Amino acid sequence: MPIIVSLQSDIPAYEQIKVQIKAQILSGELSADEPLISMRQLARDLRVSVITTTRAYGDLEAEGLIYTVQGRGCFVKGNADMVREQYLRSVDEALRVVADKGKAAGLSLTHLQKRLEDTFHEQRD
Amino acid sequence: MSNAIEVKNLCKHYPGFALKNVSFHVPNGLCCGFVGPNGAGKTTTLKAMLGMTLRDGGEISLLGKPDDEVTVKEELGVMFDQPYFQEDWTPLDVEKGIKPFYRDWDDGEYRRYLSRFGLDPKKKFKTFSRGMKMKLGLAVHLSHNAKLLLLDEPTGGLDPVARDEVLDILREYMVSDNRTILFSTHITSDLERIADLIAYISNGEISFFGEKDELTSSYCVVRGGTLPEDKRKHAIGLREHSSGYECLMALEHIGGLPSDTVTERATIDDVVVYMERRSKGA
Amino acid sequence: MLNMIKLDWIGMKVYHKRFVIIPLMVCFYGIFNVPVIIPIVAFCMLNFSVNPFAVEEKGKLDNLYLTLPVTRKAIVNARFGLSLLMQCIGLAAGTVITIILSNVLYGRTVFHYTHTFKADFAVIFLLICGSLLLYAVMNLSIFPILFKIGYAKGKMFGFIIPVFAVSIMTGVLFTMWYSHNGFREWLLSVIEWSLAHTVWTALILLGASALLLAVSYMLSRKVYAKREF
Repeated sequence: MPIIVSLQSDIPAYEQIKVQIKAQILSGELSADEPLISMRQLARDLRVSVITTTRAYGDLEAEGLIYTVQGRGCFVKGNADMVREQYLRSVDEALRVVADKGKAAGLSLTHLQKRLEDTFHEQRD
Repeated sequence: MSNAIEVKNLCKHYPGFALKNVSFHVPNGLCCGFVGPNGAGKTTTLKAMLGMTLRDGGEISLLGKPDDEVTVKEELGVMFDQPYFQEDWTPLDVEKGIKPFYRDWDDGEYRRYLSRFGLDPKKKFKTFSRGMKMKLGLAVHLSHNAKLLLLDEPTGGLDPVARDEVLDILREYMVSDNRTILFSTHITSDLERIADLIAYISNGEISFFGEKDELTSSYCVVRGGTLPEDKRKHAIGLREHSSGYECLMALEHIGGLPSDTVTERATIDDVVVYMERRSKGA
Repeated sequence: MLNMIKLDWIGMKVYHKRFVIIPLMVCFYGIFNVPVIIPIVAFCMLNFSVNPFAVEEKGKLDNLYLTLPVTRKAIVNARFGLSLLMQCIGLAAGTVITIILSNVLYGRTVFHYTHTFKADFAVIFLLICGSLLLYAVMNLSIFPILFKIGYAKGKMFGFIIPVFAVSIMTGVLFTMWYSHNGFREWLLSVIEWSLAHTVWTALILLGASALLLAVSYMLSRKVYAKREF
């Protein structure tokens, strides 16, 4: 389960970690009730501050994606599917808006697809 | 016990130098980098924590106990520059001499560390390279279950490979809960990837104490052609030259700079250098 | 305290080899003059117990101690403890050697010197008390200074000069014994008096030793408590 952090990036380290773990949970790479690597071990492996990993895990817990068991660590919450559903729903909603606006502007499907591709790649960097 | 180290208003006077109301605290389980230029008071502060130097004022508590409580040192691992072992001692002598003082000494652990670090138990201390000396010191403190490490320039004088090895040992140490490190250094790049907190001391006073990420993410190094007048007061450590200027600036003041200005995330080094320049210039 | 004494001993590892000087000196002087064996052993043992200070030049032992869970008081206690321990061992060994040699060499002539010394209880006892006084005097002139400023800075006044002074005085004593009849007679009468009043002499000598050692200890504790590293 690789997590890669770049210190040169404008995105704070904790954000990068959070986003990657979230992606792994939502894609099913991490299954329900699977234990996550400890915050301190992750800090050591990535060579970042323990405060960073603690914040990332804290945010994930706040978003309902993981839960903590005192003395045992953090685990993936079983409702990943549910959270994924929520995300898919909001993606569908956004796509509906994109489709409507595109049609109103007279853009073809191919054109819209190209713009989606560009936006997708741009945000990745 | 939530703070492994608490220093309140530590004062110490020497002719020509003084520690003035040095205060900071390190919560349990974090690694704090103690940075500052040479002669700023890092070593003096550490010595005051150990009672090697007698303070003129202030309070110090380590692992929840006042610092004159000698039993604190059971769980403390201290290293200045190099371990204070006799030239002629072998790692076995070190064990023989020091082991009786530590309740939690583990022979097996010590031997394992010696072998892992490649330290011949029968060779004299004076034959060890600097890096090996540091590793021996760490082997000792890792073998008596030290909960707090106080290190003064642990990577000083080490080549990059040895530095990385020492830092990695420290990182491994931090993986367990309840382990804290205070690590003074003027090699700030070492702190980039191990420190959680930074205490910045200059001329006997603490100018900054907080999370390392906060320190570096609050500032940018700004380079440009001409510095706008209204930005001048926000420029830290400004250096103007024939081809332009450079300075440190807090993130919140960056808006409104000309488009040809280059801004980069500040490293701890940058913050230290520009801040020092400012205090010297002012 | 035993751990600390052991650590002091291990700490002076580099000087362990020098211990061999002691028996050499004893033999060298003892062959000529059996009574001086006990004082010489006392003198040598004191010198040897200065080593935990001397190794400061090979590694900062005191600094190491202050990183360990020990009090400054314990450090002073152990140094005195080690010194006294070595002194007792030395006196015991010196006594045994004196008894043996005085019996073996009695009446014999070695290197033109005829041994006339008979070791009886009173003489040996007074030799021990006298040596203890010598030890106490030297301890007082060495330990507090070395505790206060360390060996590197205190070497001259805190070690070399006291040892030198004692050596010179001993030399003067012997010279006057052999050359000055008046002095020899006076000293002989003092020795006779003390042998006749063993108990009193012992009390005076031991009392003075105890007093000097107590002063040395208290001074050492005081100055070491304030020392900065």
